Amino acid sequence: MTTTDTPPILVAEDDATMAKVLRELLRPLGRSIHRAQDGDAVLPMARSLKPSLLILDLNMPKRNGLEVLRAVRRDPQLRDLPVLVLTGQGQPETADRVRAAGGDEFMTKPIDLDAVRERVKGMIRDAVVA
Amino acid sequence: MKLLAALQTLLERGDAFAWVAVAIIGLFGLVMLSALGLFFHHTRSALRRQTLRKRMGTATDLLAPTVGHPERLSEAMVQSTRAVGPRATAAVLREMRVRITGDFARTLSRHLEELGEVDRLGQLGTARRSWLRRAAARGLGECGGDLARGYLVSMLKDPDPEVRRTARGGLLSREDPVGIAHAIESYLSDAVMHKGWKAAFYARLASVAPAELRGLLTSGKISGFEEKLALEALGDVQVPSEVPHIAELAGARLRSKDPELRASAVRVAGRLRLEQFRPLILEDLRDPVWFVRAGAARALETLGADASVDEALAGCLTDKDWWVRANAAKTLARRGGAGHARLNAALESDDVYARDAALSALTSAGALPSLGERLKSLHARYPDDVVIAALLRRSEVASV
Repeated sequence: MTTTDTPPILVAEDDATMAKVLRELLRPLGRSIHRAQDGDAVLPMARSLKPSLLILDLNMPKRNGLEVLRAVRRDPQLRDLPVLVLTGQGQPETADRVRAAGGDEFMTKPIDLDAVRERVKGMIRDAVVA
Repeated sequence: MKLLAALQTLLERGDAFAWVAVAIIGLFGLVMLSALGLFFHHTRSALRRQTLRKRMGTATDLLAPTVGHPERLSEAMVQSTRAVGPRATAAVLREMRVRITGDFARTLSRHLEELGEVDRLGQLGTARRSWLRRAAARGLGECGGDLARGYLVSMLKDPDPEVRRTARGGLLSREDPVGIAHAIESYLSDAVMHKGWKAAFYARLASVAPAELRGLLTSGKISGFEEKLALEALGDVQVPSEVPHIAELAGARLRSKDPELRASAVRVAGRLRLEQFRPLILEDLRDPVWFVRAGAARALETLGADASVDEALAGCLTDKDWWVRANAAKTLARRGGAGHARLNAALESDDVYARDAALSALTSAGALPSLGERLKSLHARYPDDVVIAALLRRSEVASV
C-alpha cells in the first residue's frame, strides 16, 4: 500500500535481503519506498525523489555511508533531510562519527523490527511538525 | 599415428629418448585431464550457485512480505517450498533471521526447525570434512532456537578448533543465556586459540551479553591479557544501563599493578566520558609507563572543557616519549579553541619536541591559519628543525 502524494522513504542499502526486510517493514506507513544500491546513487535519487526520510547503511560500495551523510548535509536541497543510520558496527567511535557527520538517529544491526518502525514513524512525524 | 608408430619402434629397441618422451606425453595427459576435471567442477559449482541464487531471489520475494506478520509466514513458506524447494526457502529464512532480533526472529527459528533445516545442518555437523562441519556450525548459528543450540553444544567438542570457534560464535546470541553460558565455558576450557579469536570472542560477548562478560571479569577466571581484552570489549558497549557497572570495573583497574591493564582501564574510562574519571586520568599522565601516559592523553579527549586538562596536556608536549607528546597534541587539537591556543603557544616554545608535536597536530587538524606564512617564519627562526622544514616543503609542493 503506497501513495504517490506523500514523500517517499529512501533506503540506501546494498544488502538485498536487508533492503527487502526494510521495505516490508515500512510498507504499512503508506509511503513508497525506493532503494539506492550503492553510495553513489544516494544523492541523485534523494534530489529527484525529495524523500521524507533517508535510511542509510554505513557500509556500502563505491561511497561509504559517512561520506554520503556528509555530502547530504552539504547539499542545500538535502541538508534538512532526516537521516536514520543503520550499521553493524556498534562501537562508540562509530556513533560519534555518525553524529559528527550529521546523522539524526543511529541504530545497530541486527535490527529490532518494532524499534525501527517506531523510530521511523517518530522521525517522519517530527519532520512534518518541523 | 606415424609418431606413435615411431615411438613404439624406439621403445622396442630400448631407446632412452623414447622413455623420456613417453613420460612427458603421459605427464602432459595427466595435467590436461586434471585441468579438464577442474574446469567441469568449477562450471558445475558456478551453475549450482547461480541456480540457488535465482531460487533464493524467488523465495525472498515470497517470504519478505511476511516481515512483522508472523501469521502469514506458514503460508508463504508452503508457497516458497513448492516453488523453489526447502533448501532455498531455508537459506532465505536464515538470511532474514540474522538481520533481525526480537519475536519475529524467534518465529523464524521455529519455522526453520519445522522445515527440517536445523536437523539437516545438525547431521552436516558430523561430516568427515571439517569445512562442512564449519559451514554447519555457521548455519546453525543463523537458525537460532533450542534445537540448533543442542547441535552447537555438541560441536563444542569437535577436534577442529575452527569448528569449535564457529560453534561458540553461533551460541552467542542475545536471546539465549543458556547458549552464552555454554560458549563461555567452552572458551575458558579451549587451549587452542589465536589472539584475534580471543578479541573477537570478547567483542561479540560484550555486544550480546555485557552483564555475562562483567560476571566473567569479576569471577577471577580470567587474568592478564584476557582481562585486558574483556575490559576493552566492555568499553565498546553502548548500553546506558551498563555504564555505571563498566565504570566501576575500569575504575578498579586504573591503579592495577599490571601496566597493560592500567592502559586498557584508562582507554575505557575515556570512552565512558564520565567526569568522575578526570582526576584519575590526569594522574595517569604522570604514570611511569609510557603507554599508560599515552592512553591517558587520548582519554582526555572525551572530557569537557577544563583549564586543568588543557594545562596538563600542554605539559605532556615535552614528555620524554614521542607517542605521549603526539597523543597530547592530537587531543589538544581536537579540544577546539582552548586546546588550539595551547598548541599555538607551544609553537613559540624553544623545546623542539613540544614545537614539533604542536605543529604536526595543528597542521593535521587544519587549524593553522595562513599555514605557509607561519611555517616560513618558524623555519626562519628554527632552521635546524627538520619537522618544520618537511612541513614547509610539503606545503610548498601542495601550493604548486
